[in-house]
Amino acid sequence: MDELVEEFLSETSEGLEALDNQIVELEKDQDNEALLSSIFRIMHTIKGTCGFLGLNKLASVAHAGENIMDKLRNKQLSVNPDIISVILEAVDNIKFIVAYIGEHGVEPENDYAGLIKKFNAVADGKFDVISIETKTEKVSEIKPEEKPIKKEEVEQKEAQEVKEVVKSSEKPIALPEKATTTKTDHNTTQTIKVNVDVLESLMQIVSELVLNRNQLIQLDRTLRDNRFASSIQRLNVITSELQETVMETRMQPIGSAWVKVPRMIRDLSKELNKKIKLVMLGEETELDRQLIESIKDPLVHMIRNSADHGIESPEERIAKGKPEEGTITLQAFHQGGHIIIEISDDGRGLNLTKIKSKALQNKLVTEKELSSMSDAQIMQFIFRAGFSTAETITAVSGRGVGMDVVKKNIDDIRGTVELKSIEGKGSTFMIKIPLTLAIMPILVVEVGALKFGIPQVNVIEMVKTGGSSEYIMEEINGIHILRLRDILLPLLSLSEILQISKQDIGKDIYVVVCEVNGINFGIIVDRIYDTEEIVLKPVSKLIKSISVYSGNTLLGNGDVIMILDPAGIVKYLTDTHKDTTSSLTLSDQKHLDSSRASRFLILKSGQSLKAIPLELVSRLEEIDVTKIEVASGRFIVQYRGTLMFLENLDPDYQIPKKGSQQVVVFASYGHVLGLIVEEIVDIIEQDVEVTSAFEDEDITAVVLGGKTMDLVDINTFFNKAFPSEEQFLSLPKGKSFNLLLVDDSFFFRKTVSNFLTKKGFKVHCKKTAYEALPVLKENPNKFDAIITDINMPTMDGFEFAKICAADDKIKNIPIIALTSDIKALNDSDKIEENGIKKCISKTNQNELISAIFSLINIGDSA
Amino acid sequence: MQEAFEISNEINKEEAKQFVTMTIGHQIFGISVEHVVDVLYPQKISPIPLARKEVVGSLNLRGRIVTALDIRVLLEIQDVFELAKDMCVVIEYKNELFSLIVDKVGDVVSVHKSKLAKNPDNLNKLWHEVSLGIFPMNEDLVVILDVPKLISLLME
Repeated sequence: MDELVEEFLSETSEGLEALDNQIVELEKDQDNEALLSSIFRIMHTIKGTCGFLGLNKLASVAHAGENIMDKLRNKQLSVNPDIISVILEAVDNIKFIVAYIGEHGVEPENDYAGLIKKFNAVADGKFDVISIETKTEKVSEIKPEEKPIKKEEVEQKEAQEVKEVVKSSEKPIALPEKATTTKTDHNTTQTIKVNVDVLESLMQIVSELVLNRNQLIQLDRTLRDNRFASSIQRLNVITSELQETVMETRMQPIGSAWVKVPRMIRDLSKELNKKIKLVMLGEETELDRQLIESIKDPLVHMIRNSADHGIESPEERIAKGKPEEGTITLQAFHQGGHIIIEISDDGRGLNLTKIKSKALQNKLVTEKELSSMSDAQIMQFIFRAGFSTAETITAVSGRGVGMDVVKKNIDDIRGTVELKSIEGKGSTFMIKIPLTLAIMPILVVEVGALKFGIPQVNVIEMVKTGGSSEYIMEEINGIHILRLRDILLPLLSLSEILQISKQDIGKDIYVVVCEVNGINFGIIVDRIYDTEEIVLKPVSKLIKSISVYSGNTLLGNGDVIMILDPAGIVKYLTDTHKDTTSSLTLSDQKHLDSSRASRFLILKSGQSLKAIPLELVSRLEEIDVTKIEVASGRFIVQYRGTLMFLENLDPDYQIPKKGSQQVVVFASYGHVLGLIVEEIVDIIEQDVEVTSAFEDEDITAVVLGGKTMDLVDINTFFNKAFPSEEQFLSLPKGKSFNLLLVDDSFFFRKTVSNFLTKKGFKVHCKKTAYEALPVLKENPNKFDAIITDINMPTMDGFEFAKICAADDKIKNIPIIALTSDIKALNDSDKIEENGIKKCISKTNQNELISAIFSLINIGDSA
Repeated sequence: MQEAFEISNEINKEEAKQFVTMTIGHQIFGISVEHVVDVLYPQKISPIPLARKEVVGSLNLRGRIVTALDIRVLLEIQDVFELAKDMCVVIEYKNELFSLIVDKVGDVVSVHKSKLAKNPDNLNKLWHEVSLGIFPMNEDLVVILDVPKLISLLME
């Protein structure tokens, strides 16, 4: 193809994309003269250039479009939706012709005479458009510097317009008008066109250079030869700069992937008879152009989905009490080395029931499996092939071909999609993609003397178990599980998966906690090295079929290592141990109970030993005694950016003058308290589930490891450190209030009920939600409030609350949830959604009591 | 090797081809020079767990990653008489590099088309598939390997 034509095509297609949005904009902002002239200019440029290149059909269509624009500009016509549609039609035709020329090198055979006739009729005002003829008045209205052409004769128009382009090029609307303004260079920042392939190979070379630099640095570290040190240092800096600059050349604002969206939304809302507002934020966020290319189609698809399935019809929205106009928000921003793109709508949200029945219908899941799945897991089904929940198939969203492809496209660029949705309120898709494909950080781990890389994007944290660590690995029926804070994390042994020598899994292991598609799991490795920036290289076709690898690379020392694919590894979780995620049967329950035996932290206090349930403890710290300060008679220390009060477990104990002090840290919602202890002796795990006779007693001591020890009542320390009014709340005399407490932990049943009983409540305890429900159903009016633990076996607190809320007789009883999981505390959506009135930290009895007082009808004295 | 090249230049290129010879156990093989990228001394090879048994691992050839193949396993050579296994012949196939681990690398020989003998009928089926013919060289018989065929067998 002629080089000139090629140049013209690339310029024109950029211009056309801008055109779409400007026309849509014009529809909203009819009097925007700058917009009008800008649109006119683009059309005019196209017409002028293709006339010059001998592209006659294109020229005539563009000319007809320009005519209409000219009339609009001269206010002989006024902007209305019909005219906008006609202009868009003209633009579409221009686009078609341009695309056709791009493909075939010649103009299409189609006859455009009819179309042009139609355009001309419109231009002549034969389209129910009122033509304004007060031409002379116009001239005075128009600012001379913006519209110099109006004073001129028609014959001089052409020449004038070139001038106009030059003048207005300083205005903010920057358009590719090069075709006519190549002589005027004062408006452009200096740019040259570079073939993308050149950039790609440049990037490849720089990547290799980076690897070589890394090797040199490693060599330098081992050789310690001063003669090289400064040169290598300089090479290091220069290479990094070069890498950054080359990366920059590939960066483009993400807005370039969005240019088509406003037009699309306009067309969709017409087609679907919906009112949709589009909000675009963070268009300037920069992203590797290769990534932009790959993200374009998935984005378009998801936005279409939001418009089609998400946003309701105006009538439906009004009926639901929502604004008539739905909103789709497109947002992009940087977050920790990634780009996040969010697509959210305020539509109807995902219909879980529908997804469930569809999943069952397609045999993707059994009913039993479904019953144990979380909402988030259920939503993931929409990413499966052939899964569409739309009742009627529309032309817009197609036939349920889509979300699976979207997911695959995003997976291919090592991105992730997260999905949040609240029925009736809308859904949000969150796409997380790396800044660039070329270089990725990995975590280097070792197993069986072999090194492997795990992509950093999947790594959440690294944990060492056993020894002095607070995390302990456990075993259930031959599988390994890590109790990480409040979750049970399934573990996979890398050596088992890779069939390397059988890993001897002792107590002291390293676990890399990974996340894939919302599933968290741990990979057991022998050693964890550093993170390293690598260039991912495709694996040989011979190895491609092994799903646990995503590629390979060269490390700084020149070694070849395989990069693991966590998405491939996670399959081992379900393939071999299906039961870990599905619901437990009754016989398993007993097993589970014993595995949840309480753990106690044993402390030395003077001559005696004391115990604290480990569940209450946030962390164990050793604090430098010089950092401990005294303020108004109390010990204070700077801790993780805040002040932490310290209380002494044994009032007679003296903090040493030198060295460090062991402190047990407790975090209750809003407060952090450190307990100074003489010595942390041990952690004992013991099943203290005892007879019911014992359960009625007030316990302050336990027998652990054959020794009797006092239980530390943390609340007295909290109350001392943070006195609050709640302590003084009391119930009116002569009235009785009944509370139902559901908690699988014996200690919490005990301590919470003791505390509440002291406050004057009658507390009924149940071990599980399954035991609690029949009691509730039999005596629906007996209880004033339900207090439930969230993290329970067989049925968690959320589900329990949901069932209660669905039962007409029980639903009026307020539910308070207790948890030690900070994440759950802050997940207010989930709390609210399941009908839980308040969610409180397990250790915060004051807040519990104030919540009870605020939720139940205490009577006049409250 | 230099000599071999010079000799070959005198022969009509249309009818003669050059082959790199190599020894595996007792057997000498020949591979057309157009496939051979490099010949290396022993390299550090990183094993690839779960890969098929012919794949020994991968190695670094000046920044390119090469998949090392054990040709003994590939050709089902049950040769207890193991030699050094200390040379790597790197070949390129469809833009990918493979390294064949052999015991010894010999000269480059020019073979005139007419000198190439057909595979004997009693050669086993696998060898039949990967051999382009037999070249009698002094006292030895050189099996000329069909590299594309060899690799494509693995890809199946």
